Amino acid sequence: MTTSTLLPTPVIRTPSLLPKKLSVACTHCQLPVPTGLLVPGDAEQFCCNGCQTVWRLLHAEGLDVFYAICEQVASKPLQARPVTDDFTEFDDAAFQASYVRDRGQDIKEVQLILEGIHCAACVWLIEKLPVLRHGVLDARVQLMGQQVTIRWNSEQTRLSSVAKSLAQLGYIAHPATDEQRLVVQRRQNQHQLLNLGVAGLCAGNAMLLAFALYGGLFDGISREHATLLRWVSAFLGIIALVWPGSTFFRGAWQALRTRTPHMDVSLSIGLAAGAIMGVVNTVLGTGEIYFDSLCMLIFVLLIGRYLQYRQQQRSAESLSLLRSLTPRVAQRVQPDGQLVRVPTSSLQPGDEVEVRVGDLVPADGIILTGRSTLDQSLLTGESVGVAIEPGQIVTAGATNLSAVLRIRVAAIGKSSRMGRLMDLVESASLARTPIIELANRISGIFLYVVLFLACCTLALWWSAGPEVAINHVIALLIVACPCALGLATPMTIAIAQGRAARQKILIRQGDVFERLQDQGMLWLDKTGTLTEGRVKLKAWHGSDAIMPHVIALESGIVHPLAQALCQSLRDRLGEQVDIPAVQEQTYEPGMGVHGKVDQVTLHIGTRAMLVQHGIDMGMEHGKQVDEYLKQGWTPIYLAMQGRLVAVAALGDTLRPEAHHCLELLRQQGWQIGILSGDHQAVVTHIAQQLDVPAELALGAISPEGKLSIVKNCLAQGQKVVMVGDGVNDAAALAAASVGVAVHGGAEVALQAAPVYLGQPGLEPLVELFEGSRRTLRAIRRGLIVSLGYNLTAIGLAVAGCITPLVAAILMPISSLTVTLLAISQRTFARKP
Amino acid sequence: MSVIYLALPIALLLVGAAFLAFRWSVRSGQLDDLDTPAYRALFDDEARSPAKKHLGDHS
Repeated sequence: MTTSTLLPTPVIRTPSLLPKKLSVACTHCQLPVPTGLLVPGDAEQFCCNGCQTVWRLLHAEGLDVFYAICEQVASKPLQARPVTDDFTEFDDAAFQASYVRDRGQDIKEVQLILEGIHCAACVWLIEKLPVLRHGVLDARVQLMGQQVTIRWNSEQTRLSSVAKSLAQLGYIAHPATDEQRLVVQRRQNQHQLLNLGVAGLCAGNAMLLAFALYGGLFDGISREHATLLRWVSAFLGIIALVWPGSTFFRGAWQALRTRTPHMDVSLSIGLAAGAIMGVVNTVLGTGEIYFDSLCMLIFVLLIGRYLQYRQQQRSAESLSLLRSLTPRVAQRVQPDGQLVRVPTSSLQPGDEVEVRVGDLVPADGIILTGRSTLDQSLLTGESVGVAIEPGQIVTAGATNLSAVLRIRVAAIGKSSRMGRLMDLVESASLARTPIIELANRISGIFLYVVLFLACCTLALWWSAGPEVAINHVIALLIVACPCALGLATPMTIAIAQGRAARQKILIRQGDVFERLQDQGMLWLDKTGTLTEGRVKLKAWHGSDAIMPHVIALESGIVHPLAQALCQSLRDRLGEQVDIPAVQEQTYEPGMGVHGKVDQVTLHIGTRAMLVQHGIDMGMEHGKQVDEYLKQGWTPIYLAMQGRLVAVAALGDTLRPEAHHCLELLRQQGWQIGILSGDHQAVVTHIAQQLDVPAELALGAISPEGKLSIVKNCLAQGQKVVMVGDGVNDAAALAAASVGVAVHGGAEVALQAAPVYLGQPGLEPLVELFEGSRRTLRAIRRGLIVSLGYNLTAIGLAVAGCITPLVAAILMPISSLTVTLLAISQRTFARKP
Repeated sequence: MSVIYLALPIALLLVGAAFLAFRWSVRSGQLDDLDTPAYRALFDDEARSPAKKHLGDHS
C-alpha cells in the first residue's frame, strides 16, 4: 500500500513555475516549502508529499484541531516520512503469538513503542486513531514510556495496517519487546505510590490527633482522652515507620555496609530516636511524643524520593529500542531460488538473503552478487556512501543505496557487529562510576556534627538528671533529622529538569548537573553537531552551461552525493530552467554515472571513472581540485563529449554559531576535541576553522575506538562530556561522564545518553552547561537554607527549648521554604 | 462515655477504607501513567466529525 491509498483523493504534486520568493512554511510541519512545490493561491502549502498526505488525512476526518493544539503547546508536528516499510511481519503468526493478547470476540490488544511521541499534540493525534483507521477500537498513549496500547477488531483491520497508519502520521511503531522490564517498572511504581499513600494517610491523621493534643496543652484535656489520643498516634506512627518508613532504615543499613555517606543514616537515627521515645512515653503515659512530626517527615521525604524515582525511570527508557535498528524481516533466497520473507531472527549463518535498494542489511555477511553503495553512517558516522562489490563484508544496519545485493549471512543478532556494539553500549552505561551526590556528602558531615552535639547536650544537662538529659538529646536527634535537606535536592532537580524540557533539553538523570560542574574534556562528533550534516554544493569550477544536463542525468540516481548535487543545482538555477530529457543512463556504483542527455554524452563521477572511460582530463582544473581536497570537500568531475568541462565540490556546511559557541565553552574551561568517524582530511579542515588543536581532531574512528578514547580520558581522571548523534557514538555516549545526544540523530540510539538536545545547533549545548551551573547553585542555596533550619532547631534543642509543638511548626515551615525556593530559582530560563 | 470513643474508631475505619480504595486504584493500574491524563483533559471530543467516513482497509 502506498501513502495515497489512505486518501479520499490522491493528489500528485508537480513542480510549478514560480519566481523565488520568501520562504513559506509547510502547513503540516512548519519547515520551509521548496520553491518548486509552491502552489500559487493555495492557503495550504506543503514541503513534501508526506506532509500533504498527513494533512489531508487529518483534514478529511475533521481533525484539524491537531494544529491548534500544536500551537498551544508550542510544538511542531513531526515531519512526515515516506513509508517504505509495510509492517507485514506484524501480521505474522509468530509475532502475534509473542506480542498480541487476545481479548475475545475478535478483539486483540497490543503494546507498541512509538518513535517520536513528544508532546500533548502527539497524544491527541494518536488517540484519534480509531477515527482514522476503521477497526481500531481505542488507542491509549503512555507518554513516559512512549508507548501506546491499541485494541482493534481483527475482523475489520490488520495490525500491519494500523502500524502503517501510525507510520504515516510520523510515528514508527516497534513491538514493546521488553515486557519483563515493563512489568517490573510498573510494579515498582505501584509499590512507591502505595508507600506514599500509606505515609500520607498516617501523616494526615496523626496531625489531626496532634491538633487535639496541642489544643489540650493550652485548654486542658482529661487524662483518659489524652491517653487514647496518644495511643492512636503511636499506632499510626508505628505503621508509618515500619511500612513506608522502612525504606530509610534499609537505605541506612546499605550505606553503613558499603561505608558510603548517605542521608538515610541521619534520617534513620532521627526516626528511630523519635519512635523509641514516643513508644516509651506512650506506655508510661508521661512525656513527649513526636509521632505527628515523624509521620510528616516520612511523608515529605517519600515525596522527594518519588520525584527522584520518576526521574530515574525516564533514564531507563527502553534501551531495548536500540535493537530495532536492524530490520525485522529479510528476504531469504530458498534453495530453489525463490524469495521468501522471513523474520530476521530466524536467519541462520550460511543463509542467502537479498537486499533491495533502500533496505537495511539484515545481518553481517559477505556479498555474493551485486555492486552497490552502502550508507554505513549509522555504524561509522561517515557521511559519504561506500562502494562495495562481491566478496566484501557488509554489516547489519547499513542501508543499501543503489543496486540489489545477494548476501551470504555470516553473523546475526548478538554476534553481529551491531549486536556487539549494543552490548558495548549496555555494559558501558552500567559501568559508569556513580557519584556521591552533594546532599549525601553534606549529610555525612552533618551526621558527625549532630552526634557530637548530642554528646555535648547530654553532658550539659546531666546535672539536671539523666531523664531530662536523655529527653533533650532525643529532641535534638529528632529536629536534627535533615528533612528539608532530603527534599531540597530532588525538588530543585525535578524542577530544573522540567524547565529544561520546555526548552527541548531533555535531562534524564539528575546527577548530570553535578557531573557537569567542573571542567574537563568535551568531545564533539562532527556530523550533525559542528556541521549541518547535509552535503551541499560548495564550489563549481568550469562551464555553467551543462548544469541542466547534470540535473537531468543525476536526478534518477539514489545516492546521497547525486541527490545533493541535483538539489543544490536546482536551488541555484531556480525553477524556470528546462530540464532536458535523458536518453541513456548507466550508473556505476561507487564511481559515478554516464549517459546521453539531449544528444550530449556526459560523464559525472570520480576521477577514476573518467580516466577509465578515456576522458581528456585537461590541465586547467587540477589546481582547483587540490584546493577542494584541502578544504575537505569531495570533488566531482563533469565531462561533456569526452572532455572535462567542470569540477564541482560537495561538502558539509559548518554551523554558523559553532565558532562562537565553542568559544563560550572554552571560556568555561572545557577543552574541546573532535571525535569523528569521517575522513581525517574532513575533520582536520573543520578543526582548523574552529581552532581545535590538531592532536584533538581525530577522524576515521570506529565506534569501539571512540569508546576507548573516552575510557582513556576517564582513566586519567578527567571529566568527559561526549556529544554525538549516531549509533556509532552510542557506546561512547554511555561511557562518558555525561553523554549528550543531539537533535536529528538516530532517535533509537539516543537512549544511551543521559541528555538529549531537541533543537539543532550548539546553542542548546551552551544553555545546558549554563543551566546546570545555575541549577547547581540553586541546589547549594537550598541546602544552605535547610541546614540553617536544622542548625536553628539544634540550637534550640541544646538549650532545651524544643517541645513537640515547636518541632511540629518548624518542620513544615522548613519544607515549605525549601520547596518555594526550588520553584523560584532561575535554572533553565528562556533568555530575554 | 465521651463521644470520642465512638468517633475515633469510626475515623480509623474511614482511614482503613480510604487505604483500601487507594490500594485498589493503584493495583488496578489507574495510577501507572501520571503524565498523559494531564494532557488528555485538555482535549475535547467535539472535533470528531459527525460524518462516518471510515477509511477502508485496502491493504
